[in-house]
This record gives sequence, structure tokens and C-alpha cells, in this order.
Amino acid sequence: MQTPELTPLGDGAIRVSFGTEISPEINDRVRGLAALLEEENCPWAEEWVPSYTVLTVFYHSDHISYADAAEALRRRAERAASTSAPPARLFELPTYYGGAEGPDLEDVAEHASLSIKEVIERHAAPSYRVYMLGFTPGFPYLGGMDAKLATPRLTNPRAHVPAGSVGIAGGQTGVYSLDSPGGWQLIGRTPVRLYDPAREPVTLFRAGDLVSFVPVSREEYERVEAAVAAGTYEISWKEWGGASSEDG
Amino acid sequence: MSQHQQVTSQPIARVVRPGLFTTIQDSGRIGFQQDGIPVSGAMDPFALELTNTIVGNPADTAAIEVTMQGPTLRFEEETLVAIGGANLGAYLNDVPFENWSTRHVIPGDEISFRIPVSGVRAYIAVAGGFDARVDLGSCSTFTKASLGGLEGRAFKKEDQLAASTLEWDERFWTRRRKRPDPAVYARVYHDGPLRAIAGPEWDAFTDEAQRAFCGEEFTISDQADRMGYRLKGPKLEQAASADILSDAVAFGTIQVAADGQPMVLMADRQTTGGYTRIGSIIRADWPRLAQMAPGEKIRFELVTVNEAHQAYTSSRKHFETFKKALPLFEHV
Repeated sequence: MQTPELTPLGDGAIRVSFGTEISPEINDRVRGLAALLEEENCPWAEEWVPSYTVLTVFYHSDHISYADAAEALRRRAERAASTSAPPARLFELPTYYGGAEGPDLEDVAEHASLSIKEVIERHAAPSYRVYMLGFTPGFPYLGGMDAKLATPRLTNPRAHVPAGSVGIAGGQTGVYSLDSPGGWQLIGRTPVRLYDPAREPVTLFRAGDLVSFVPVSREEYERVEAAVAAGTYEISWKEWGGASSEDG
Repeated sequence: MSQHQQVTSQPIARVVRPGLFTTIQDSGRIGFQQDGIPVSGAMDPFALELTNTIVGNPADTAAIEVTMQGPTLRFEEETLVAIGGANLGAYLNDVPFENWSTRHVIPGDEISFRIPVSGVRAYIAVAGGFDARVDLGSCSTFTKASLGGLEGRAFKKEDQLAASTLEWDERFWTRRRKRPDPAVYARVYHDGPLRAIAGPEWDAFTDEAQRAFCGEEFTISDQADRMGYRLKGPKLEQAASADILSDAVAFGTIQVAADGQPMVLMADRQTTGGYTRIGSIIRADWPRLAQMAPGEKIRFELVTVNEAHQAYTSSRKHFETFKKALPLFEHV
């Protein structure tokens, strides 16, 4: 297993890098170190941000030197390597594909030389790993999409993409967590809110979670949308123990 | 902090005119970047701290951040008010409200702003702090996700401002003529180059780009807000692609997109980015950066992490001495 590489990000953060490739195994090591920091009392560590292959830990020089913080992280990274990654949760997102909710579905199908039905089947088949959150609050960077579905971003990004829109950008798929401008090819929409300031916690996913898209009819989409608006909708998820086995 | 035990919300002032972009900010929303939620908080953390300090508040108390064109606020209660950061031409009624000073206000008094003199962001603090909505542990306003402050948005006409208390510490008013000596902030707002630490992708840039980054001048463009500043300058060429796997960024991180132009990330930055990071501006220089306006020139100088930490400590030496002499801290 590769030794983690520690480098500064400015004078208030340290990057602990476990590699350079997107893989569930490397991402599990990122999660393992994050879990260790969560469990253990490490008062100088203000917060940490997992990405595909790196855990970035924020500190303040009033509380610890770079050398001491780096040493503390190096030791923890070694210990984290010998423990298994924490269990994940598997979420199912009811999704309406096509129509006004997925205006680019036909273009994606054409680009992939597949029928619309095949695009939906292939997109809804995997359990995607949430490698990290970023871009906007609660936005999941998902890994594991069928390579056949890869479609370039729109040449002209849309000024307004509604929250819940499911899109494809290159080999990635994702779900917009806020209404925002965006250049992803939109293939559908989920009524589930990935970010809701009135909810506790405000974001739905954590890094390491698994997500699958469940194609639903327009009636079902509208039923869920109404339940979400009324605050009566509870998203289903189940514990998923085999952290590395899901998207290989 | 004996004066601040009771925290109850008290209407204290009304917004007569909202100003260009006026928000409530504290020291930021810490702990939620892993969920993709930006830190936000004061763009100029030092000005927030010093303004709070001279009105008797803890450093991270929620205050008003004023941007270029200030608001008009009418007070409805008696309290102490301090102003600091940029000199945006503040007045208390018809008398100039000197920067870095504390004043006593009574019902009917108005703070307003006339012609900005220097800097971009001023802070208005009241004794005990403003009482605003706390989301995820912070009052800091992040408008894009409607978090914190006044309903997660910038001030509007007729907004009602509340304070956590109406009590105030007499001693901060009797010292009103003892404004902090300029030495307290002189090293924070120095005019040397902005110091930066080489970024994770430093080696992805050509030798020429590295030299240009350290030697040439960059100009802050009109695209400069709480999220970040786009700079204009020599094209910073990269040997390979300008895209990386999305990864964490920080306050002061300088990203370079495919067009070779840098963007410095600020308080409302996204938590992660996919562009190469040529460097990060050090903590000691964040306050100065926050006070720079479109059109201003920037030069960068590379330093080590240890030099950065020393620079931070030494920039605050006089401020730490000043704090120790204040009544709030004399028993600590």
C-alpha cells in the first residue's frame, strides 16, 4: 500500500494524499483517516475535507506547528490503513427521466448510440459511490457510471438548473443540490432534496455513501414531490457494510 | 466576559438604506466543508476582530460587514458602536465616525456613509454583538444557500436589527479618544507583495509561468466578490491540462483555469475545486487582500509555511499587546 504523501495547502491546511487515481480502495483510506479524526479527540484539527484521493485537514498556527500537525496525521494515516473503512449507507433516489425534467436525455442517447430506454436502464443500474461533496452544499461527486453514457458538457451552460436535476458531465454523473447555473447534460430529476436548510442534517449524503437512481413514473414523481413539500417524505436507505465491494 | 452573560434578543436598530451588499458575518461556519458548505465569515477577519475588541466583544462576535457603499442605520436603543476595517466615509449623524473608534449612540442616532476613502469592507460592531439567525453554528450570511444572518440574505430597507444584549461596558466608551495606535494594524495592512505558499500543482506550471507568478504584476478584475477575485495578468501556462481531480481549496487559494488567469478564492468560496492551484495566499495577508478593490495591482512572493506562520504572529504582535491592556482582558 502506498505511503501517504503530506503537503501544505496554504499555511492553514495539510493534504494527506493516498494516491492519484479514482478508486474505491484509495477513497476508503481517505474515509478511514476522516473516521479516525472524528472518533479521536484532536482539538487542533478544525475540520477536514475528503476528496477522491486526499483528506485535507485544516488547522491554525496559533494551536500547532505544521511539523507537529503533519506528524500527528502521518501516524493516524498509518493506523487508519490497518482498520476497515466505516460502513456506508445506500440511498435510493426516485428519479423521473426525460421530459422537461431531463431535456438532454435524447441527446445523451444519441451520443451513446443507445435507445432512451437503454440509457435509463444503464444509468439506474449501478450503486454509485459518493466520493466527496463539494461545488454546492450537499452536491455529491458520484463514481461508477457506465462509461458508455459519458457525454461532454453543454457548450453553453444553462443559467438556471433546478435543484434535484440529474446530469452527466463527461464520465461523471451527479445531482444538483441547489438551483444554480450549470453545464451538465440533464437526463432527469429527483424530487428528493439533497440540501434542505430546514432539515437536520441539512445535507443528505456523506462521503462514502452509496446512491442508486430508481426510475419512477410521472405520477410517482409528483406524489414524492408533494410529500417532500409537505415534509412527510422519508427517504429510504439501508446500511451497507462491504465498503469496497460496491462499484468495482 | 461578565457583561455578556445574558443573551436575549433586543431590537436595536432599523435599516434605512441597505447599502451595496451589507451582511451579518462572524468568524465563519467551521466544520461543514466536508458537506460542501462554505465557511463564509468576515472577508477581513482581522478587522472583525479589532472592531469587536474595541467595543468589548470577543473576537468572533457577529458584526455587520459593509461593502464599498455603506448602509444607513437608525438606532432605536442606547448602546456602544464601533467601526473598523475600510474607511468608507462613515458618519454618526453629522459628525465623521472615525475608523477604529467606539461611540455611544442613543435612540434616533443614525450611522450613514458618504464617500469611500480607502479599502473595501468595513465592520460595524455593537456591544454584545448582533443577534441574527444561527445556522450550523454561525451567524455568517451565505446568500447562495440562504444561511445565517438576516434570513440568509443581504440587508434590505426596513430590516430590523437585534442585539444579543442592551448592556454595555462603560469603560469602552470612556476610552473613546484612545483609538488603537496605528501600529496595532500597520503590519496587517502593509503594502509589500502578498505572500503565498506554492500550491499542490506548482510543478504543473512552466518555468516561465512560475517566474511570472513571482515577479509580474496582476490586476484585480471587476469580477471580485465574497466568493473570489479574478485577476488579470501574464498568462500562466501549464505543461499539461488545467483540470485536476476535484480537491479541497482554502481561503487565499489561487486557482488557474485553462485561460491562464488566476482566481483567488475568498470567504464564500466553494469547498472544492477542479482547477490547478498555483499557490495560496498566507493568513497574515488575508485582511489586506479583503480590502483590495477591482483595478488594484497585486504582486506575489513565495514563502515557506514556517515563514508564513512567523509572519502571522509578528503581524499581530502589537494587536496582542493592545488587547492585554483593555478592561475586558485584564482579569484573564
